[in-house]
Order: sequence, then C-alpha cells, then structure tokens
Amino acid sequence: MTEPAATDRSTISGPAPSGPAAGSSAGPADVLSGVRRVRRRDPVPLGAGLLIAVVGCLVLVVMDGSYLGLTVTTGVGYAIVTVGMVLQLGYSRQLAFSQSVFMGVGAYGTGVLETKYNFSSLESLLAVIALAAVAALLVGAVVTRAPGLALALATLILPLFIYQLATFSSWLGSFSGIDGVAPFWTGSDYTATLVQTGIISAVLLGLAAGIVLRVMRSGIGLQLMAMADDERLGESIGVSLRQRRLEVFVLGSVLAAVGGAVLASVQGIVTPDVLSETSEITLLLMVFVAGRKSVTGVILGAIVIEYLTTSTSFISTNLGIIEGIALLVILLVEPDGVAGAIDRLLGRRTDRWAASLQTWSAARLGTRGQAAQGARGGGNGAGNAA
Amino acid sequence: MRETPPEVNANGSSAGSDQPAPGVGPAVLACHDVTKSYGGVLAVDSVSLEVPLRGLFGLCGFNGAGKSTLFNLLAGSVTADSGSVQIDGKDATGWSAMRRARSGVARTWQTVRLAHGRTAVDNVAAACLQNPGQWMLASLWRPQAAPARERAWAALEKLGIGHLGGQLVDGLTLEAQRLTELARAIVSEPTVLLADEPASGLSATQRSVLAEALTTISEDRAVVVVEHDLDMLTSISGHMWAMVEGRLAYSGDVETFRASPVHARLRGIEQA
Repeated sequence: MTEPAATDRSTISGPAPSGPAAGSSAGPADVLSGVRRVRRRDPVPLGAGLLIAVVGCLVLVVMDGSYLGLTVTTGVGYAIVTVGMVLQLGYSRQLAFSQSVFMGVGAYGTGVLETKYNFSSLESLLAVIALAAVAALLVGAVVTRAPGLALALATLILPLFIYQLATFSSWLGSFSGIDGVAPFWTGSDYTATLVQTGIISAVLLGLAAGIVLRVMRSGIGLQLMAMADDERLGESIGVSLRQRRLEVFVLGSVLAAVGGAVLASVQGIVTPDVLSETSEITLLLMVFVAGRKSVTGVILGAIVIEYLTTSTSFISTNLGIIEGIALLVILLVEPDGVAGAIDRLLGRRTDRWAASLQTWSAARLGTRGQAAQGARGGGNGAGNAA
Repeated sequence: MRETPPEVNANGSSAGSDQPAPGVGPAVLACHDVTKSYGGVLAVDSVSLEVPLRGLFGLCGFNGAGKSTLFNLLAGSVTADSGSVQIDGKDATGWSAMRRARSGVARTWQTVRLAHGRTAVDNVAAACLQNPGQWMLASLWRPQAAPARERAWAALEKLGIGHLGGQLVDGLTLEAQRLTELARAIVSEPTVLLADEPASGLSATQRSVLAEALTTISEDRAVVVVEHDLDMLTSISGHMWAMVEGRLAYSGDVETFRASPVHARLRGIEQA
C-alpha cells in the first residue's frame, strides 16, 4: 500500500476570519478560535426550569388575582403545550398537528374525573398524564409510521374527528362542555385561589421546560438533531427512527394534556373549543411567531398571544382571519420567528465582536512575542508564539 | 493475510468475482449475488464480494456503474431484490440500516450530509452514544451527551481537525466538512467504513490530506472507498474492485489492475 505524501493538516481551516490562520496550528489566533470545551458532566437545565417557575410564580403573585393574572395563568397553560411543541415541531421537525386533541384529552379528562368521579386535582392530573401517555402511544404507534407530509395529514384529521365526537357526546356535555372543574389549589377567596392555582401552573411549566431542555441537550437530543435534518443520515448512524418519532410524539402529547389540565383548572370549564382546529392554529401561531426552536420564546409567545386575543375585542372577534394572516406572514418572512430573528442579529454582532477580539488578541500576543524576542537579543526563533 | 487472488476476467465479466479481497482476518462484510434493479434497469447485477477485517479497498467504475447502489445495499439503505449480505458471518440481508450501523457498518455519502446549524463536535457526537437505543425517559437522568462529545473531540483530533470542533458545520470548508463526516463515521469504532466519493470536490492538496486520513483509519478496520480519482484510489488501496454496468468486472491487486483493460477504459473516460 503506497503511503500518500505527507501533508500539513493544520491547513484545514474554517472560513476566514473565524477559522484559524492557514499553517498556524499553534498560533494565538488558533488558541482563540479553536477553544476546546470538554464538559465532563452533562448540563442539567434545572436552573432554567427553576427560573421559569420562580419568575412565573412572582409575576402571578404580583398580579394578585387580577384579570391580567387570569390571562397570564391561562397563557401558562398554553405555554406548557407550546414547550412540548418546541421539541416536536421545532427541534425534531415532526410535522404532527394533534396537540389540540391531546390538550382536549387533558382538559376533558380533568373535567370528567373531577366532576363525575370525584378525583382530587392531583389525582386527576396524574391520571390524565397516564391516560394521555397511553393514548399517545396507541395513536403514535400508527401515525408516526407515516413520514413527513403523511404524518401531518394524518394528525390534521384528528382534531376534526375528536371535535365532532365531543360535540355529539352528552357524557362530555355536548356543546356546553363540562362545568365546575375544581382549581388546583383552592384558597380562602377567588383571588387567593387564582394566585395559588397560577403558582402550581408556573411550577408545572418550569418542570415541562426543564424536561424538554434536558432531552434536547442529551445524547438523544443529538440523535434527534441528526434525524431532523436527514432521516437517512440518522439511520446510518444507528438512530432508531420509529422509536425516536414515537417518543417525541408521546412526550409532546403528554405535555399538551398537562397544558389542557391547567386550562381546565384555571377556567373551571371545558368546552369543545379546546379541540377545534382554531385552537390548533392558535397554538401554531404561539410557536411560530415566537420562534419554534426557543423554549423561552414560545412561553412568552403563548402568554402574549393569549393576552392579545382576550384583551382586544377586535382581535377576539376576528380571531380566525387575524391568526391566519399572521401565521402566513411569519412563515413567509421569518420561519424561525422573533427568537430566530434576534438570534441572527445577535449572532452577526457576536461574530463581528469575536473576529475583532481575535485580531486584537493575535496582534497583542504577536507584539509581546516580538518584544520578548527583542529582549533576548532576537532569540533563535524557538520561542516564537506562532 | 489472505492470498492475493489472480486477476479475474477484466473484460466486463464478473466470473470469479466472489474471490475474497486480500486483507487481514475473516470477512467482516460480505455479499453474495446481490441484485438490485430500478424500473427494469439493473443497477447491481449478481455482485459478490468479501471485505476482510482490515485494509483499504478501492471500488471504481463509470458513472452509473452501480457503485453507490452497492454501497446502499451493503449499508442497508436499500433492500436487495435477491442475494444475501453477511456482517461478521451473520445473515444481515433483512437488517435495517440502523441495525447494520449498530453492528459496525459505517458510511459516508457522495454529498456531504451534516446537521446544519450545529457544531462539528455535535455532529460527530450524535453517532457515538454509549447506548444509542436508550429510552428518552432514561435520558433525563443519564443524558450521555458529555462522554459522547469527549469521544467526538478525540475523533476530530485524530483526523487533524480538533481545532474546528466548536465551529458550526455550515461555515466549514468542504474539506473540513468531509473530514467531519469521516470523524462521525469512525467515532463509533465501526468494523467497516464505506466511504462514497469522499474526495469529490476537493483540491489536490485536500485530497492528499483525505488520503492520509483514510490510510490512518484503515489501520484498524476495513475501509472501502468509492472514488473516481484513480491515482488517489490506487495509491492508497491494497485491493481493487471495478464495476461495469452493474457487474463486478475486476477484483484483484492494484498492480494488475493498472495493467487491465478496465483501468485503460476508466482512464480513457477520465482523460476525455
């Protein structure tokens, strides 16, 4: 076997100016651009989840049961759903539109268990999580076999079907829905009840965000990243596409159900509207306007859009038209939403700062090296920084 | 070391083409009489070959000769119409690409396939989880990402691009992207690497860097390289296969290949 000519591998570089200078594998510029960070331990996004929960609690305590507090708490319910959608639609690019259905499973499940079977809030929440997980496993085992567009179409049919089912079922309260759902935490009066229920909702949101961030930053997250870009690539590196698709579907659906349970608990009533296609479009708007890949973005997006749709009569009256147009514009102009646009702007700026810093540091180190050589009377070149 | 087989009929016939390639140890990957057709066109026609434990093996042929289809058949990306594939002596004919990858068959593609918007080290780390089939729920308390990234850094450094590990792959040169793909392919310590036109689009200098990397990789595993650059391929390979119209037209040592009519025909096309 003939050996190829020896080659200097230090010439392999990234693009100028962020890549290292050609032929300078140990130079100062390289030291800066080739920062190797090895983390011995996996990042635990407990801090992020905790921060979201604490900020949410504080905001709701400050709002002290006002109408705005109710709106924000409702937004928190939607935010739990959209956080799951970040993993599904944003990170894994799983085109599934069944979140409103599972939100309905959570809301109706809570309503039925509490009003018909006298479950406590905690019991009904746990039961709803289990119910949604089993339902998502059964539905997901079938629909996630379909790739891309077929999966989107299959899950798009679900809200239509389930909505009809809910409106025709007298057991589910038909068009009136189920009234009298108990709050998570009953206080001495309405204000205290709203604040306390809001605190539980914020804690659930923090937990949901922590779980999603943990998955995205894990090895499984790396696999999801690879298969999201290219499924054949994912398979070729040993990723089980069926397993991962199903897991993402189940996790997204369970979080949607938890969000639904929060909505039922906050509003005290469950109506078929939660299952409608308009509800799914509202969720998509919350995710895409804010930025489908940003957990913080979709939380803020859910709360802001919930506020806009309930506080302005013009928007609430023309909700369908406004949401449709807004979603269309976002998808055409900035598919990564506000968070994507901010990221890009900040990225460009940080790239410029990094390049300037790199040049400045390289020049400084070079000057010092020359000065040191000068002090040694020119030296023999062995001590040259480069 | 196996005995070097005599040059098989190099005029387009595949007679005797199931002779094993010379290398170290038993065949880790083999196919027997695999055939694949697309809409009546035979892309691969009764091809048999064996890939030994270690060494670098070249696979060449005209465009449309069936090289990439053969790679897809070996890696499990497409299913053969007939014939069989063995991995480590086990019948892997019905195995998925995922199962073959987990059994030690790694590959790269003609066009670079990397996850955009992510760093080189993340792209490589995705391929080397200690437990790739781990349940998502279990990843909450055992995320596996940090040890995978450590292995990824080591693989990138082995190929001389450790200093680019932290950069987004979108901004890397084609050469660095190809090496990142190679690092991803070898990071899980596969037994066989199938490299499909890894030098495509690279300059002469970059090709020699790649050739050196492939040679290093082949020191402890089998590497099969599909390549149009015959000079590069014959300079690094210990054994050559050539495909013509879906059939294995040549299987033998490099020196004999250089004197064969298949080589002359390929050269003629290359020069034309």
